[in-house]
Order: sequence, then structure tokens, then C-alpha cells
Amino acid sequence: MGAQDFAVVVGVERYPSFGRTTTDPLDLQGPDNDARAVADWLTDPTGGAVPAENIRCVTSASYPDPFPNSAAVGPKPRDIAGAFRWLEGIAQRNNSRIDGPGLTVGNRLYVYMSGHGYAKRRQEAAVFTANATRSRPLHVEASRWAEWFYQAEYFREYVVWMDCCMNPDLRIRTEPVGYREVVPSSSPPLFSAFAARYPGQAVEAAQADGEYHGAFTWALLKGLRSAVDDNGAITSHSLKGYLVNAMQTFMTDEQRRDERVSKEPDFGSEDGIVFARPPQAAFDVTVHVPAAAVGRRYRIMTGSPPRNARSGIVPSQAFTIPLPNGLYVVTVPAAKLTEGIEVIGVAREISLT
Amino acid sequence: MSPVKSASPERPPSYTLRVEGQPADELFVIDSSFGLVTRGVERLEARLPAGVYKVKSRRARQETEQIVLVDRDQTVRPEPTSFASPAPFGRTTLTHEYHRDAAALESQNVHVVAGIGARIFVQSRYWTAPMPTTEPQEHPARGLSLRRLTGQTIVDYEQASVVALNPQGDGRDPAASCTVAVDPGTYLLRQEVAGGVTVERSVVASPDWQTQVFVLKNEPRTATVPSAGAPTADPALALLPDSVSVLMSRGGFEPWRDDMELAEVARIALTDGRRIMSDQLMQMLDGKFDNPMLGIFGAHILLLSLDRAAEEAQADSAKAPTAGAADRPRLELTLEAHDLDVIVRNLRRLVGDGHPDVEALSLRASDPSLRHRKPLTEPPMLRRSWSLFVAASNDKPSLCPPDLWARIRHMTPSPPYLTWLSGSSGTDPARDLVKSMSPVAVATTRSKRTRRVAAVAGGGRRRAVPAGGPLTAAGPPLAALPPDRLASVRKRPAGRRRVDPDVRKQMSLDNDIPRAVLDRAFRA
Repeated sequence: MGAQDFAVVVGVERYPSFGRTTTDPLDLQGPDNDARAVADWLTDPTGGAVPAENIRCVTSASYPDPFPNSAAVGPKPRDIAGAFRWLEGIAQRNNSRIDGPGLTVGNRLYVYMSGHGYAKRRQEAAVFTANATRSRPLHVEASRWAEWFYQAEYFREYVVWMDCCMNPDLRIRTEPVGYREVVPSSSPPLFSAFAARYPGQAVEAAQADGEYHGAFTWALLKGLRSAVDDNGAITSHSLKGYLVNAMQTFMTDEQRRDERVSKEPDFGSEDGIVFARPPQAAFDVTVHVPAAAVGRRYRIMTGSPPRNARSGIVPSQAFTIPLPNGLYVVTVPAAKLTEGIEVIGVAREISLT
Repeated sequence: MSPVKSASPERPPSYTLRVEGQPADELFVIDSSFGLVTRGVERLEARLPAGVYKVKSRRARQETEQIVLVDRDQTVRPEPTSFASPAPFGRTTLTHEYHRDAAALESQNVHVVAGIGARIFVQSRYWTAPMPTTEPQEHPARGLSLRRLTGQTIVDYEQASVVALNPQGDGRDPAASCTVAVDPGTYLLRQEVAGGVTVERSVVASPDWQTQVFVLKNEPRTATVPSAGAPTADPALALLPDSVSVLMSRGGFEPWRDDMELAEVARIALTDGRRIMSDQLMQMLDGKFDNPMLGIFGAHILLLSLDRAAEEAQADSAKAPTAGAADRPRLELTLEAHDLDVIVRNLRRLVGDGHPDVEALSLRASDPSLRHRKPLTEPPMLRRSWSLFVAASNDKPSLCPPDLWARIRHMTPSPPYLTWLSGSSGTDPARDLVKSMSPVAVATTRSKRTRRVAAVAGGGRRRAVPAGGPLTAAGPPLAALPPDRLASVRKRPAGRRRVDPDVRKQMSLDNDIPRAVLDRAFRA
């Protein structure tokens, strides 16, 4: 699984001239971390299991910091295009072999991009490149690139993850992109997820590893490790369900209150794709109860029909239980205490009062 | 408690879960595996197997959640939530009391007389609490003007507005308000942007109504809330979608009117493409409602719901199930195309037959006698209204004349409004579109929607296609086509392009370009 998969991973973090003037930066703090973490999952044998040589990473981290001059600023649009050109080159080489697989490059293509972005419409994301300025908002039509490869059918499955804002940008006039379209002959499975629902914003925040990550990417990575379905697989469906419910967990309170920020990701196609089959993970839930509940019997229920996830005697006013992702209801019947809790890839605390 | 015993011993008993939200609340029931079980609007009733579920309620963009153990029949009533609005309602957030008072007071006065029979009230205000900006705030209406369609200035709002200041005396978060008496008709709200660029949108003034435009300038908070968006401190921010509310009232602004707040919920839902039309809301629009903007937003949401339901039905019938893909719970609709007729009749009763947004809606009426027949001469306020005219122009090109396109052709995304860059010297996007597409591409273009569905329905194995053209920096490479297709194209004589009418229609719909304009571009 994964040996025939390919990936293009893009993270644009440093924007030296994207502020109020061309001398003002408008840097982010997460895209380099995000791109590295996504690449780590992709190459992890228990994750995507993609061979490292099948991944092209285009990130700010591969450019000098600070940029010595404007010519050295990157990634530029052509740098990202280069990653796609690499795939195109493989397709053409395969096609030139008499006994080759035609234009087929591999089994699955992952496209991940993170950075400042905008959207012209729903599920059509573009990422600004490092050399963007206010008067010259250079960008890459990320969704259209993914769409083109989808149409070209170089792969059997497609996965598109976009961690960027999806709000419109008044400065960019809607113009057609000058390219011819490929006529597809089939409709291979596709899973596409966007950090924000148009016209919402995406955000980043300091996460549990002490680094900044996009809330979407962090949730995505958690989901790719823990959002297993009843069959023990992480699928498009289980991952979507997890992301919808989990993403705002990884935002700050202020971000959650901000109505410009999209609290849920958006999804294009959700065809059935299996991402991984990891061992089920559990996360510590610390339950706080009044003194009167100590020594009483507790019960934690989940699922349908409701089944006991855990039960026992309350040992103290605070006790910790590991639970897998899911919805739970904690009860201490003798003390008439009941509370619901959602376990979503991180340790949680709950108070029964 | 009324458990229903199942024939199968493995099936748990089922119970009725009722969820009762506020008008236009979106309601969701989610299972323990985070799968969506069912959804509804305002009210929801579902028979569910016993289990642990989450009930989620969304009003505008604010959500509440509650985890419940369904082990008996029960009713859940989500807590009411406040949402943010550029209009300073009594129950919304991002509002200072003095903003609300100023809107209520100044919308009753007339500050400029430029006609008779209708009024336009504009309030432009800052709101930066609870993290007040340390930077000086410029006049909230700087660069904002009301103009006739000829471009003639009626009001420079920086000069004519009454400014309400923070009672604390620090000058922070001022609100500029101004009411103009005008003749009924369509006007332009223009925002000057740095660099000589101007952004415009239309404001329609209807007889005996006051059209109210609220502009919220919410300072960016990127220092503490890192966002992956573009910088947003431009003056153009004032016309971004989340920053403008448009309402209509017989008198002045009434901050506590429930139906006005509901119109704002509908505006946000339309912006986000969310389907909040319910039987209850339809009943409101079916009756003698007195809120034209609620009717216009509601009618567009009705069309959105009907169109999406049709797409879902088509997708469901076309697509074979794939591994790992689960059935998605659909929003059940009891609405019909006929409901739009009712709303159109009610809207015409309220604002007459000269409102371009109402006339746009009439184009989709099931009763042909209701449909607008004359060419559109004034830009509507909503982008979806423009799209309806564009769609209809494919059957009747005269509905969307090229001179109106010339005014708004540099459209810029600002949902749900129709917004364009004025005075831009750029080329015609219709001609750019036609030029950018080779004969090959023109002959093979399909919309993304139909393309995907058609591919699924058609099935079949892939063909080997030759290399694409050179890769471009901003977009994907030039197309690859099967050799037989390329050969036939190469034989095609140069000069005027023969393009399938269905392809032209799809190009028109995908790019919001009137058919007459597109046909002219192909002839050029």
C-alpha cells in the first residue's frame, strides 16, 4: 500500500512583500511545519507509506532565511509548477516505453498545499506564492492543477488537501486561465478537502507539539492517525466525519468566536478511499466529580446501541480513562450525574456537576 | 418512553428525537463515529436506534452542540445564539449600542434630498472591541459615495454623514450614517480603493421603501489570530461579503425586528451556499410578509435548495457505490418550483415590477406569465440574480444586453452581492475567455459538474492521450487529445470558430457571461 503513490507537498510560509507595502512581510508560522508533518505521514509505513522519492516538497524552508534579495524569494509559481512538471515528465517517459503503462504514473496522487490563499468560488482554492505583493498577487491555481491531473487520469485515485483561506480577494479580477482541457474517459476516486468553506478564512495556531500548524492540517494529521471506522480503516468517510467535528478543537477561543473563520472544512468529492489501517489510538479523558460521587459506580456509554465503553467505581474526584475517538455519555447514576463528551484525537477533561 | 421492538434481536429499540431550533437554524444529528445521521432546518424529528448522538445547531455561523443519550423519546432545544452582522441589531454581536442608536435615529431623518419616493440609508462603522486598534481610524465613510447610473455623484458620504462617536470620548469606532431621499430606481454604491481602483455595486430604491446598507469595518486581527488569508486592511475590505448587509424597511431601521434579523440570517446562508429554507420559512414567505430582502434572499435559497436536490438525485442515480463511501443523508424537501411563483407575486406586490433582483427571480417561475421579458437595463444587487439573467439569456439573448455587461464585466467575487471593479482599463473578459481557448478546447469544454457526472455515467476505460502542451506557471498545461481528435481539429479551416451551442451555453453559465456577449466575442 502506497508504493505506487506520489505526492506534491507545498508550504509557503514567508511572504516578504505581501504586507501593507512591498517592504512589509506578511508571514505565516505554520506552512513549513505543516508540509513537513504531512510529508512525514506520507512516508510513514503506518501512514501513507509513500516512497520518499515519490514526493516533491516545495516549501519556504528550502529557501534561504532571510531572502538575500528579491530574486531569491521563493517558492515562486514556477517552482510549484515544476513539481507538477515532474509528474508530467514521468507520464511522458512511461508513455514512450513500448511495454510501459501508457501515461499512468502511479496509483494515487496526493496534492497538499498550505499558505495564504483565496478562492474565486467554492472548492476552487489558489495559494499565493512567496513573491506576491498587494499590487501583484502572484499565485498558483492549486485546485485547477489538481483538477487537470484528475482529468488527465495519470493516477487511479486522487487526494487533494488545501490549507488556505477560501475568502474572495477583490484585487484579483476573475479571469480565465489559459489552458486547454483534457477530456476524461472515466471518473477515478477523488477525495478533496479544503480548510475553509467559501468565503471563509482558515487559521493557524500553536498546537500540542509546541509548533504552529494550520488548524485544518493539524486536524487532518490527527484524523489520519485516529479516525478509524468500524472496520479499523481510515476512509474518506471516517476522515471527513472526524474533520468536520474536530477542526475547531484546534483553534483558539478567539478564532472560534470569529465569524470570518470557517469552523468546518469543506469537501468536494468524497469517493471511497482508504488512507491507512493504523492500530486504534486512545486518548486520556480526565473526569472530575464532586466528593459525593467518589466510591459510586460510574458508566461510560458510546455507540448505537449504547454499550459500555468503561465502567467501574469512581476512585477519586479526578480520574483518567483512555478512550478512542467518539461520542460518550458519562454517568454516575447514584449521584444523578450525567454529561456528554466528545473525544477527538486529544486528551480531554470533563466535569460532572 | 415508547421503545419499538425490532424483529431482529440485534437491532436496538428506536426512539423519537425531536430538535426544535429557532427559525432558519440548521440542525444536524451526528453518531458516535462522527457520521451525519440526519439533518433539518428549524425543526427535526427522527426515529433513531438507541445510542449516543450529538445534536448540532447552526445559526448564521454560530454553532451549539449537545451530546445526548437517546434511550427514550426526547426533545432537544438548542440554546439560542447570537451572530455577527454589519447591521447593528439588538441581538447580534459586533455592535456598539451607540451604533444601534445612531442607525435607528438617523434612518428616520433625511440628510440629502436628491429625489422623491424612496430612500437609501447607509451606515458605515468600525467595530474593533474587545481588542481596540491602536492605529488611528480614518473616517468610516472615506471614499464611499452614492452615484447615479451615469456616474454622477449624489452623495459623498464622508461629507454628508452624521458621525456617532464613542461615548467614552476616545474617538474609537465611529459610525457614519446618512439618509438620502431619491427617486425610485437603481443607484451605485462606490468605494474608492487605493491606487485609483474603485469597487461598485448597485443599490435598488423601491417606491415607498427605504433600502438600508450597513458597512462594517472590522480591523484585521492578524497579530493575534494568524489567518491563512490575504491581507485584509485594504479600503476595499469595506465591500467584502461579510462586511455588508442590505435590508429594506418601510420606515427607519428597527434593531429589534425579528424578521429583519431573519433576513440577515438568510443573507449569510446565501453567502455560504447553505440551504436553510424550511416549511416554516416558506409559510412566512407565502403569507403577507413585509420584508422584501427576506423574500429575495429566501427565493434564492429556495432555488439553491431545489437545484442542489436535483443535482444530488442525479448524482445518486449515476454513481455506483465505491468502497468506503457511505450514503449521505439528504435534506428532505417538501418545497416545489411553484413556491417560487408565490414569492415572486408577493415581492412584486411589495416593490413593484421594476426591481432587477425580483425580475431575475421571475425568470425561474413555473408560471410562464410571471416571467420577465424585457432586456435587463440595471445591474441587480445580487450575483445570483445576475446569473439568472445570464442563464435565461441563453434562450433569449436580448434579455442581457452587451452594454450592461460593459458596465459590470470586471466582476469581483463578493458573495452574495454583484460587485465589480469600475473604471478598470482591462480587456473584456468574454474576449479573453474566447481567445484563451483554442479550437480544440472550445470544442471539448464541459462544465465541471456535468463533466464529472457524465464521466461517471459513461464509465468505460481511459484512453491513452498524448503529451500536453507547455506548462504554465499559474495554471495547468495545455490539453492533450487523442490523435484522431487532434487530426480532425487541425483540418478545420482557420477563421471563425464553429462552436457547439451547448458548449457556448456552458461557457456562458460557468463564467456568468451573457450569451449575446459571448456570441459576439466568438464572431470577433
